[in-house]
Amino acid sequence: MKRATLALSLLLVAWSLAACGAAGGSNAPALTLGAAPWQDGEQAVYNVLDKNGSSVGTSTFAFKSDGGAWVLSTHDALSSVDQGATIHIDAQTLRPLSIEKTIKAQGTDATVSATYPAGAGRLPIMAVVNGKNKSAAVDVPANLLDNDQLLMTLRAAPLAEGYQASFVNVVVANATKINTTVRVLGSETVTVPAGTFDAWKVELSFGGTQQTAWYEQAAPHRLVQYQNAGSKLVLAKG
Amino acid sequence: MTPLYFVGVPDWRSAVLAALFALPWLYLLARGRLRHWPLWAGLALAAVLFPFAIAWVQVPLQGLLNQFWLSLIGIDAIKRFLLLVSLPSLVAASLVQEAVKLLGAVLALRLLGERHDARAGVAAGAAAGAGLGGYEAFWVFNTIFAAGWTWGSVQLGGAPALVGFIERFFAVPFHIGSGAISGYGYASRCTGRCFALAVALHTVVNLGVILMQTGVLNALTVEAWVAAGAAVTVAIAFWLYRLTLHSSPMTRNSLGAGMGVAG
Repeated sequence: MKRATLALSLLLVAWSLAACGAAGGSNAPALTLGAAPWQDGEQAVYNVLDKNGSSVGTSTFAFKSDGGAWVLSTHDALSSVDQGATIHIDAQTLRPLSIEKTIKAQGTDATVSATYPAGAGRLPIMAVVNGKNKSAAVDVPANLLDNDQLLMTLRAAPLAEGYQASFVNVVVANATKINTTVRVLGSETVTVPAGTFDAWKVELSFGGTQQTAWYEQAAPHRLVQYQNAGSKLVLAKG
Repeated sequence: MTPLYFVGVPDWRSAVLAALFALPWLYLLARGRLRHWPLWAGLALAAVLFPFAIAWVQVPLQGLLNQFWLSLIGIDAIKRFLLLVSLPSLVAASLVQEAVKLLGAVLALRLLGERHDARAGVAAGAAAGAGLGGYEAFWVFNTIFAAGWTWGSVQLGGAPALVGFIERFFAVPFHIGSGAISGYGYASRCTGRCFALAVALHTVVNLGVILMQTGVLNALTVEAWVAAGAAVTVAIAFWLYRLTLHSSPMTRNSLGAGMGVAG
């Protein structure tokens, strides 16, 4: 019977180790980005649809050149929330330099700002939430993207059949940092209000949660469509 | 949904926290038997069975119940009578999880050779509860850490960022307590009644989630609900443990040895 206990215990350990292998850390190489494919003054508008396909608002992304940086302005005008962000992005590395974000939802009026360290280091986050000042600090690695720049910045990734890469996705609004893997699943022809596109179907894996994005294969590699558990973005203009 | 879903992205912090939440209660309810390897066999069995029981029994059962209500009364009526409609699903979940703990307790008791020792039953049931509750906590913590939780989340978000940890702090002792009740019942030849009590307590604790969905409780008060349920369950388990102190052969032998009585 001692063997039975030993067998059960080994089974538990083996099960956990197998799970480690199956669901654990990514083997994908660190994300490397090429030159920015967008232009100064570029703007894209997306229709936001809920799970039933009904429209719940729009999301807008606009790029502006500012010396050695890009300024990405985002605005989500949805039925449940109105939020916007301004992200300064290094023009060479496409790494985030700073972010300022405002969130207006029922019961929430918040402004969050953060300045990213030059490499790996401490990210201080300042926030004013419903009139109260708050602050936090998160240790971040060098290989990261800010959550609000992520979808647009991946346009600069060398997407191709079989491509995969990993990085840390930092969400300053709730001070989380998520190990993220990007994987090209294949190519698909996608039809959205803005037209029909040959696109790379890309799986975004955020610590076990999967989302999907479709990027135009031809330059400027626009984000054509994006889908998560609760909503879908489809390119309407831009 | 596969059993692997109930592992998540393994994180060493999850394992440490799960053990910290479980071991003190296990010690209190199973002391005197912690060096007995069958107890750990029961713990391991309950832990191993958890992901399979949830993925292959509980979730399909709840899915069938959902389909049944949907076809019978439709989605609008379901939303109107959510509390009532959810009860069978809650009972199903409780039955599955308490059955896993009872299986672990039965294995431990049979390996101990103390099939009718009530105190051993409490210990075996507590161990099985620690196995299931500890594994569930491991999975939940894996999910929280994989979602990117940092201490900065607490600095910005306050107490709500700790809700997942607070809930497991109460849920783990609940599982240990309800397991102990079932284990006591099996050893005391009242398996049915004690198992039914464990299922009832489990259902009441899980009812908190539905009460939150209907707006009766909020995210904070639902944790108070879980805490109260855990306190009642653990109190019953300790009361049963104390009942066994004066009736357990092991205790009688210990007392006998202390008084210099042969045998």
